[in-house]
Amino acid sequence: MAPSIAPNITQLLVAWNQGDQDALARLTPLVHKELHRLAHRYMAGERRGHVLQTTALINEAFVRLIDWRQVEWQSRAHFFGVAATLMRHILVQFAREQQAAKRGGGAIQVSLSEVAHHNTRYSPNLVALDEALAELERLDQRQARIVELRFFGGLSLEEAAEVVKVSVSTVRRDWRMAQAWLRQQLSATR
Amino acid sequence: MTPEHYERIGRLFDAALERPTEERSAYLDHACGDDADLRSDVEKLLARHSTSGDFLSRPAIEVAAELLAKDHIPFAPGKKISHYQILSLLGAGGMGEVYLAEDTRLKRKVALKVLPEAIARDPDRLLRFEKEALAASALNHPNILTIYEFGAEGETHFLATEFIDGETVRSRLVSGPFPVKEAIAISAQAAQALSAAHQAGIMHRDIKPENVMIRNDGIVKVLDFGLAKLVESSGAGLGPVEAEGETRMQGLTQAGTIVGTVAYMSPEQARGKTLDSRTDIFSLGVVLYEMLTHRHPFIGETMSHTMVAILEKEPAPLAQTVREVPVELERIVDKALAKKADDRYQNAAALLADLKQLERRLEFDAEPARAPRVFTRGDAYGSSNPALHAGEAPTQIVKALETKAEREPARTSERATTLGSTRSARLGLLGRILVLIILGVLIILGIGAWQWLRSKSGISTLGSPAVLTERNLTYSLTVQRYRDGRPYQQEFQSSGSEIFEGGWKFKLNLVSQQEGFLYLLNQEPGDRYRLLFPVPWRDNGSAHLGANERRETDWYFFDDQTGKERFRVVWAAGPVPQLEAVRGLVNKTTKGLISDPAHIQAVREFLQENEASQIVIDKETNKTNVTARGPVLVTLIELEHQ
Repeated sequence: MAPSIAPNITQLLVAWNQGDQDALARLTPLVHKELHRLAHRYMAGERRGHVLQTTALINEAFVRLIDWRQVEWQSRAHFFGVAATLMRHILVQFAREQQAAKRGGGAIQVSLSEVAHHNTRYSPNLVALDEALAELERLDQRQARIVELRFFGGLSLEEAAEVVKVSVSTVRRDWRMAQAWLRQQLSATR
Repeated sequence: MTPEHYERIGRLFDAALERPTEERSAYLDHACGDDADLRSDVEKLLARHSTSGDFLSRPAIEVAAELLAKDHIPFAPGKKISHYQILSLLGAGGMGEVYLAEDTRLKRKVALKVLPEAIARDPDRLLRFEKEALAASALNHPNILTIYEFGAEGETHFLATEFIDGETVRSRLVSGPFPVKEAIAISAQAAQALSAAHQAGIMHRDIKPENVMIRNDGIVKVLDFGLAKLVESSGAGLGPVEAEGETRMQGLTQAGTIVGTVAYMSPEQARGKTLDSRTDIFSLGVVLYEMLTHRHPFIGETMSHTMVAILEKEPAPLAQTVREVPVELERIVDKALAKKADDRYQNAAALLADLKQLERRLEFDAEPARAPRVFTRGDAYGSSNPALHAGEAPTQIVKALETKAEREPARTSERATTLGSTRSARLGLLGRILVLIILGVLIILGIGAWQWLRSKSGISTLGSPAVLTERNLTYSLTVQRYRDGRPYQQEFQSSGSEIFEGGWKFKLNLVSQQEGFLYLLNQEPGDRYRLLFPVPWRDNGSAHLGANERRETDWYFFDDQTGKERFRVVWAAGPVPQLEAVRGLVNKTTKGLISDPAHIQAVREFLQENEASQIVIDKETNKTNVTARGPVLVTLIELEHQ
């Protein structure tokens, strides 16, 4: 769909999945570029008061990033699983760098602009969430995996069910409990 | 926690959720038995589920993109954009950031207005920006900001304009009203700019104190023809507009779209009607009124109150707030502020003519005979007395004293007797003059000492500093809960004991029985502060709060970092210099964070000095009443954030 984006990205993803850390270093800037593009869209959309179609966004990100036909994936599910893990890795690292760059760091987010007036959604702290998710992995690996797929990978309940190979209702239950527990963790820490 | 325990909690959590809400408690009683810890763990999760169910519903990449979008970092000094080298950031506003830069080719300073990338990528907004450049660059007038170039480098779009060393009418308003003559002179220059623009078929449509700059040499420049559009041919009072321009601008001239700052809108603009150049005359009238009275003629509690006032209310006569206002000026302002465009000045030139005539008359009247007035003027707001700085001041003051003395002969001679003993009374005329001169010197010294004390004490007071009257401030907190990113339940008045969650928001409602100045600070870790109020986009950026006037802050919301949030509300009888110094630095980039070490130190010291003042907090009906004796009130609000 968007052949202009690095044609070797799929290869890199495969390589990274097989443990090639150099591949990750080359993948990261590509995801960052995508992130910047989304950020611009986000701001433009916010200013006009539009709510972004999140699924469309995330799907577009993947479609742009990966050329499906280039490699025979073991399955669609396999691809989704790898992509979600990659996204978690890169996004959390990105959030960590952003956090470090902010000196002092304000505890309160002040609504200072027209942008903020529209933005009343709660945004979890990605770094803290990643840490809580690591703890969840210890307690219930499947729930943690489902969070990774849904939140970092942007998958639907059905797609997540396909990856984890359980029923949709099980994914729904896991997702419900995991979110409640993570929310509790994020409030209790610090 | 062990995986086994987690699994047990999970089973109970799922089972409870499958039951109707009212049966859950009974179910948990039964299922948990004596295990209070287990029950508490399950209940906590159930509570989380009900308050913030799908909190991960937005994918991480969007959260990250949001982080990035909000963390825009301005260009650093030294950065080159095209042939311009950034020297410093001058400010940031709705349409982007403005830098002081050097044109490396022509070796001159320019103001470089840079569009945020996000806007530059938005074709609609980019178009609007280009139109601004196009419209304004067609104008060539000493009172209109000169546009040098509209260009782009890569994805950075910019507008290079003349750099004005001076300040806006808005920032000058901080220190009180303008002297009548100056307000007239500034308005006359702005009217000249409008007249030239209107003749070229261009309206400003957004005249406000922020857009009128006073250069250090007194020349006025009207900026930001940002919303200017070519006047439609249907518009009254102006000649036909060339056909090409009309088509070019069609996208911007639809009636029904409200663009611009509400508070300075004309009634027809507030109604979203088709506009003509007379809209600018109304807006300039509002600016003139505000310069004279230090008050906005129509401002209301909310945007809609303001709009209703613009449409229906007659502003209070100038004479109510301005001493010795010329009748003619009252008439000019009334005519500029006429609700119906047909009753207004029909063009800027007519307004200009009236202002000029009045200016000449006042100059004529201001000959020596009226000098005493100079002495009595200007001290009401604690602003410096112009006569004290002018070269001819001493004579004027002595003259003033003479006049004063003549008006109160009895008291003067009484004082003269005590001061100079009985002999002075026998000295006749010469003695009386001598006594008057001594008295004059003593008064000058007194004023000087008082001003010195005032500057030392850090805040200017409206009343006498020696009298400590009791002042009060009442505030309440409005809270809005959020669930799944949407408002949840009705907003409510905080009792002060709520535990706030990430995503919830609140605002402060404040009122004081006395006229004063209001500031709100948020204390950050490391004893740093953010100035949350006043902000440029509310109440015209002024900290001024009238007696019994309600003030509502922005909504503030909590992010994910937990702990105790500390806010300090400062009310003072006069502007607080330590806070006024940082007020101008609040913009969307700094988010009010005070970063200059000297400023931080000044704010800290101010708070430390004033926190000792006695404050009685009387809580009733969720409103907190703070009282204190003295000109400054500081109160701490602590919110628990989980």
